[in-house]
This record gives sequence, structure tokens and C-alpha cells, in this order.
Amino acid sequence: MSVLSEKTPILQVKDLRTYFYTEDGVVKAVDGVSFEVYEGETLGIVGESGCGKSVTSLSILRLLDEKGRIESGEIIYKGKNLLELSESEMRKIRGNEIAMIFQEPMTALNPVYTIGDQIMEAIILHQGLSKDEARKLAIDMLRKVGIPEPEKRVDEYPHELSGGMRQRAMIAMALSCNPSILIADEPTTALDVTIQAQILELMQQLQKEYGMSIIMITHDLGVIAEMSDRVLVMYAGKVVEHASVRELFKNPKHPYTWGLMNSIPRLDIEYERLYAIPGTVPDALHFPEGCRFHTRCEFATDKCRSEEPPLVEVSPGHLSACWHIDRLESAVAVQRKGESA
Amino acid sequence: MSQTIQKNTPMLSVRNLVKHFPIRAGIFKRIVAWVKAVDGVDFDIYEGETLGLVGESGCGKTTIGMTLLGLYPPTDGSVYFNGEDITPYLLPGWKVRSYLKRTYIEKFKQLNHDEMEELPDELKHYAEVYFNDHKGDAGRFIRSFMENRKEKQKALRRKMQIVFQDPYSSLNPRMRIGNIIGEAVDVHRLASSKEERQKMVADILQKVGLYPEYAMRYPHEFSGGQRQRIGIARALILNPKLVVADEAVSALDVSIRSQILNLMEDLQKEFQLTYLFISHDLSVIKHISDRVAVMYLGKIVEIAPKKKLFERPLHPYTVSLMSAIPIPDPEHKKKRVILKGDVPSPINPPSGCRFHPRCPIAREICSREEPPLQEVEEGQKVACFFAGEMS
Repeated sequence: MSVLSEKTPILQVKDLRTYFYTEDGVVKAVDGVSFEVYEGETLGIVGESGCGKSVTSLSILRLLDEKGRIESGEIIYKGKNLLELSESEMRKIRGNEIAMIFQEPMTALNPVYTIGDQIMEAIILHQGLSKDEARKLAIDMLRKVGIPEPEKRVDEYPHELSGGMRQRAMIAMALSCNPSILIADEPTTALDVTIQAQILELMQQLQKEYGMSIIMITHDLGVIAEMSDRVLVMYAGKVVEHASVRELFKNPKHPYTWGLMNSIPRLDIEYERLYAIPGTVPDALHFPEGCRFHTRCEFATDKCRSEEPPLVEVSPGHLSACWHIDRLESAVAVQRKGESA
Repeated sequence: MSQTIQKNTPMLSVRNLVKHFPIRAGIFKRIVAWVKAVDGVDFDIYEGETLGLVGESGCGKTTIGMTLLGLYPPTDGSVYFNGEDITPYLLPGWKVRSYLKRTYIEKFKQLNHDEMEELPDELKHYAEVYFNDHKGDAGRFIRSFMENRKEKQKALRRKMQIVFQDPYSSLNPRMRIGNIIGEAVDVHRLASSKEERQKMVADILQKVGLYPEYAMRYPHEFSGGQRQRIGIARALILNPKLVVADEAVSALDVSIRSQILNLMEDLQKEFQLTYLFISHDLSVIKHISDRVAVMYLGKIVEIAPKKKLFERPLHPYTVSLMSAIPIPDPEHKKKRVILKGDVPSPINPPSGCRFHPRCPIAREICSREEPPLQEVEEGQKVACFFAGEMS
């Protein structure tokens, strides 16, 4: 699917800015992020800790704590700006039309209610079913996500389930109201690889069945490659690159994306020495002037230090925010030549 | 590492290592069950190499690391460091006597002289000590281990150090970096003056890529990657032989992780270190290791040189583990083995082969008998009756 698809997007985020007012100063966690999500696709958001990927998703659902404020921007869902809705209108969207699953299912589930009670709560609230009907639906959902003996499990507490089973229960809860968008914030990061493979397969299979869109937030480029149709790469509160998954991995057009790809040891390629992006992620209170990546970028020039590069289309459907794509391209060409030789 | 090193005696040998943790319940805190975290593990680490230890959570990989350093006393089994039995220094004093009796004296008493040659290397050395140096006197043999036990323990701890996973909880927030790193220097009395200690700390900070001025700062002033460098400096200031890295890069971001991996490789060359690198991440293990051991539920299921293991894994668990890892390349199409079910509890592991309830090729014998860890190809040991069938 191309970035500039003719279809109307189901969700449109326009120039979102979410700031946190802390005692030490203003943290610009998300600073001018725009993207759209189309029906039935998976949009991957990738970046390191503190890049703003989770805050972006929390902003969509307006789940920020009292220090966080959405400064400006629009979040258009099916023609409505979610930022202008009242709290009670928002509650009808949350969990019903846009659902979310979190990284740590143990902390996201309430330990003093059974799995069944927690799934039924959303069903009764949003769909107005009776308790018995809701229970039947909850059991059906648990069966769908591959939990064995759902009639028994529905009355168990979260601590009685393993990590993988808890994540399945979370997915059952999120999908019980048949949402059109599922936001998955690092859904497999806390799980073992064999369990991660199970959960990713389940999500793909359920997406086919329900036709929902998924926003997949992760730090793992492997998960991104496997799950996404399009990818947003974030760094220090900004989108630095945006492309279809194949295009991104084939022709990375931002030095950060390229560095990230080279930093991961891979099972299928042998490296003598890993590439390491120098330095560390800048402090969110004092992001550097100009391009925020310039302090760690090997192609940086004076222009990068003073002027912020805009996110522009560099090839059809491929957006990047970099002043020196030509320099990057020649470096990539040299590297690819070395690999094939 | 190279073949020549492999033929030498190993730096560290682990024989039938067992670590069980008791579960206590009720008002009298009676032991109601045991968690069989490590349940009979054998492996060797050779000088200068990196042995990667990989497995999912709860497989016992961290317990092995902790036990080797004496942070948990072993339940059974022996650990040899350069041929010397160091188990007496890992155990509490009151257990040493029964350990020595069980491991050596009872065996030696039933031994004919011509059988001595057939003993494994580790035992043979102690048989000679027992019969020649101590003239078969069990009391003298035991006393030789108990003499200067504390000093020997301390000397041993200098040679083996650990780097922990979480750089946030493994540094004392109330101590300055200089004292966190310098504490070991004080304990082992390695510096004769304050200035010398300061210099040692400054040197090691530079070696791990930090400024010597950082010695005056506190842990909260540093990022995760910098903290992990501090953890590495703390381990290396004693100039150890063996470093256990327990998920040392797992908590770090991708771009920082590769910096730390490169640093650890550089330091290994510079200080001739031997690593036991524990991780759940096969791609990190593949990058840094010379040989790899794969663990499942308290047992090693496969151990092999890296190249062999990744080219042709022989155990069905290794095969599934490798295929479960998402490859960062959307063009890459592969057949994936998705395992059913969860890892069983180590309190009540399955009978026979512990992997059989999840194994795609399990047969009847697998639930009855436990497959031994056997050499299937040169240097590649596998614990499976049907090794290689899935590869």
C-alpha cells in the first residue's frame, strides 16, 4: 500500500504536539507528528526509548497523566476530531472503536478481578448486553485467542495465567467490542521469543478475521519487518522517516534508520564488528537545535546544526527529514557493494 | 575460538551442577516443593573464548551464573577452575566435609590402583593428591581444603566477576562512582595509598570509555549505557580471568547495545578475558560467542561451536528458537516452527525429555526416557533421541 493512497484514512494525526510540564522544565515528548492509518493495514512505529512512540499512542486515546498536555494538532477519527470530544463521548470511542494492548499484561490487568469480569465490563458498557450474554461472548473471545479451556479460565485471576496467556487475554479484551483500530504498544517485549512468535501469529490471524487496522509500536525492527505494511521511524519526538516496509528496509533514507538497521546483530548475516551509532539519545528537556539527530550523525554539517530539516517526500510514498540524503545514499551504496563482494 | 585453545584443559569445568530452591509454606515454613532451576548441567569454558548461554526465562541460565560465582551455593555437582576443585569455596563451611566425602573419598576408597588411570581428568588429579600427598588419610585430605579457606575464597572471587542486567538496580544510588568501582580495590587491598586507588579507578574508567572526572558523580547522573559501562569497570578493576555477563545488554536500546557489545569485545582482547555470556537473545549470542550452549528447563539441550549451531541446529528446541526470531528484513521468507503451549514449571518438569510436551517430533520414548547430552558431530553435543531430524 502506498503512502499516498487514494483511500480516505480511518485515522489521521495532524501535527500532534504533546508536552509534559515537569518540575525541571517542558518535555516535548511528541513535537509535530503527522501520519494516517488506513483500513485493514498495520502501521509500525519504531524508535528507541523516549522517542515519543508511546506518548503518540496515548495521545490518540487521550490517556495522558495530569502533567501531559496536548498542545496542538488534530486527531481525526472517522471525520471527528478526538481532541474536541467531551470526556463522555471519548469514553464511547476508547475500548470500543479504538482499543489498546500494553506491554506488561500483569500491570495492565486488574489483579483483584477475574479475567472474565474484566472482559465483560467492556462488553456490557459498550454493547449493552446482559451479564449472561456478555459472559458467553467473553468465553468465545478467549477461545478465539487460543486460551485452552476458556470456560474454566474465564473465572481465573490474572496471576493464575502465564505471561503469554495474559497477553492473549488482553487481546481478547481489546477485540471483544470489535474495534476498528487496535493500538499495540510493545505487545511482545516482555515475552519469550517462542511465545512472541505465537502472539504475533495470533494478531495477524485476528486482523484478517476482523479486518481492523493495527498500530504496532515497538523498538524491535524484526517485529516491524514481520508485521507492518508501512513504518514510521521516530527519534526525539519527531518522525524522521516514513515509508512502506519494503521500501524502508531496501532504501533507508535517514541516517538514523540506517544506523539502527546496522546496529542489530542478525541471524542471517555475519558481522565482524557491529556498527554503533555514537553518543546517546539527547535529554528530552534539551533537544539539540536544528536536526535533533545531528549530534550523533556522521553526515552532519553546519546546516544540520542550525536548521531543522522538514519531513518531505523524497521518492514516491517515501518521506524523510534529512538535509543530506545524497551523502547517506552513497554510504549505503558503498556498504551494499562490500556486502555483495 | 581456534582449535588449539580447545585442546588445552578448560579454564572452567562444570560437572553435574544442580541447584534446587526450596519452596516453603505454612506457619512452620516447611519445605513443600523444590524449584529445579538447574538440574544436572555439564560444560567447559576455555581460556579466551566466549561461551554464550541462551534460553528463555526460567530455564536456569542466570542461576548457573550466580552459582559459579558462589552467590548461590550449589545443591550438587562440582566446579573446577583451571583444574582445581573450587566447589568447597562455593559451599558454606559446614557442607564442605560431606561434599568431599561424597565426591572423592567414598569413590577413592573403593578404587583399585589400576583403575586410577580410567578416572576423568578432574578426579584423577585429586586421586593422586589423596593417595600420594595425604597417604589415603581422609582427615588430612579434608583439612587441606579447609585451611585458609577464607583467603582462597577471596582470591577466587578476584578471578571471577559478574556484570548484571539492570544498570539501574545494580549500582548503589548513594555511592559515588569512584567508590562503587573502588570498593573492590579496598576489599582486596590492591592499592597502597589513596592516590594509587584513585589512579586505578581513573584508568579503568578511561578503558570503558568514561571520563576519570565521573568518579565523583552519583549513578543517577548517568544514562543506561553509561551505567552499564560503570558495571563493566567495577568487574574489570580486579583484573579477573572470567567475566559472567548476565543479560548485560538486554536492558539497553538498540543503538547503545551495539556500543556496549563492541566495548566488551575490545576489552576481551585487551585483558585476555574469558566470557560466560548469558542472554535470551539469540542474535546477540550469535554475534559475541565462540561456542553456544542452549538451555531448556534446567538442562543443556545443545552445545556447539557457534558456526555449527547456527548452520545446522540439531535439537528441535534450538531449531524452533531460531525460527521464532523475527528477521529485520521484509523480503526474508522463512518457514516458521511455532511451538505450542508455554514453558512448563521447573517445580514439576515433564518426565523423560523435558521438551517433549512442546516438541513437534516427540515420540513415545521421549516421555519415558531422558535423552543424554551426547556428541553427535565433532564438538556438537545434543540431548535428543532424534537429533537432526528437524534441521
